Amino acid sequence: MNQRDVDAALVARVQRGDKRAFDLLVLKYQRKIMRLLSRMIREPAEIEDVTQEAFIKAYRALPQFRGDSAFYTWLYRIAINTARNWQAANNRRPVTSSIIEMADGETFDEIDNLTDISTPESVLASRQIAETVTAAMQTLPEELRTAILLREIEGMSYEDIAQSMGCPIGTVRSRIFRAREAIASQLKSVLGDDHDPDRRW
Amino acid sequence: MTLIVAGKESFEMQAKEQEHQASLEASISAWIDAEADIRPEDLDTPYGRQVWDTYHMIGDVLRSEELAIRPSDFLYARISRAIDEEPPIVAPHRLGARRFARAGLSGFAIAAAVAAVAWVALPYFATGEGSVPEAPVMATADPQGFHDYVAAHRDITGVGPVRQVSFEPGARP
Repeated sequence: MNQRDVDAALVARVQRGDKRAFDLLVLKYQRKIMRLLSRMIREPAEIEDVTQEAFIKAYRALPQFRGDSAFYTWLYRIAINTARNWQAANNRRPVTSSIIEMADGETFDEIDNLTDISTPESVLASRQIAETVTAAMQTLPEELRTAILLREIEGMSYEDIAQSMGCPIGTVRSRIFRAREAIASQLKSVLGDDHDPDRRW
Repeated sequence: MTLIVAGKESFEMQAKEQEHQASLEASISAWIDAEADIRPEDLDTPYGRQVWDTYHMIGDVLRSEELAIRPSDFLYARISRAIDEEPPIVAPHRLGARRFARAGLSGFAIAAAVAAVAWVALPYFATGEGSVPEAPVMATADPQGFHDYVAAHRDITGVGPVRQVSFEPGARP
C-alpha cells in the first residue's frame, strides 16, 4: 500500500457517493494547490476562490477519473487549467511555463518552482508555522525525530524504517505517531485550534 | 533490582505503545502513511478532520517550508458546503488492481453465454438421422368457448366505450 492507494480508496468512496471522503482529499491537498495557484495568480485574495473552484471542478470530473495517473497529478492539471481560465476571463497576463517530464512519467509545470507571492500577514503566519514545526522537531527525542524524518522526508515504509532503526514495526508506528502528536500540540497555539476546535470545521 | 526496573519500564513502554495504537490519532497517523486500511467514516467528525489536516500539514512543512500555508478558516467550510450542493456522483467502480481479475471474469461470462446459446440453438441445426423432429404442438382455438366468455363478460360489464366494428372484404360504403 502507498499514498496512491490511500487516495484511490478515498476517490472510490467519493465515486460511490460519499461526499465526506472528498473533504479528506481537500484537506490533504489544499496547501499544495494554494501554493501552486499563488504562483499563477497575483492577487492573494483570489487564490482561495480559484482553489475552491478547482476542487469543485475536480469533484464534478471525478466520475471520469480512472486512476491511470496519481490523483494529485490529475488534480494538479485541473488546478492549472482553472487558473488559466481565470486568467483569461480576467484578462490577466498568463505566467509562461513549460511542462517538465518527471522521472516517474508524470508532468509538472515550471510554475511549481517559481517564486511565491504572499501578503505580509500570510508570510508571518507561514513563518510561525514553519518555526514552530522546526522548534518542535528539535525538542523531540532522537528516535522519534529520526522515525518521522525517514517517513516524511525519505518516504520510507514502516518496514524499511524498522530495519534501518533496528526495532519492531509497531515501535516505528508508535514513534511516528508520538512525533506527530508532539508537533501538533505545539502547533495548536499557532493554529488557534486549542481555543475553538470547531472553528474551522 | 535494575533488571526489575528495566523490565517494568519496558512493560510500561509496550503498554503505552498499545494504548497509542488503539487510539484514533494513532490510527490516523498510520492511515496517512498508508500503513493501515483507511476508514474514512471514522474521520467524519470535526476532531477527526482536524487531526487529519494537522498531521498532513506537519508532513508538508517538513518537506517544504513553502507549504507552511494556513488557508483561511472558511476555505475548507466553503468547499465542503459547495460540494454538498453538488449532485451526488454515481460512477462505475474503478477497475484498478482488479482489472485483470474482472477481465478474466468477463471472458468467462462471454464463454458461458456462447455455450448457453450453442446448447439451446444446436438442436435446431441438427440434421442427422438420430434427431427425430417432434410433432409440433399447435395452440388449439375454441371459438365457441371464446364467444361464450365474451358474451358472459359483456353481461357483467355492459357495452364498453370501445366501438365494435366489422369488416367485410369487398364491401363498399
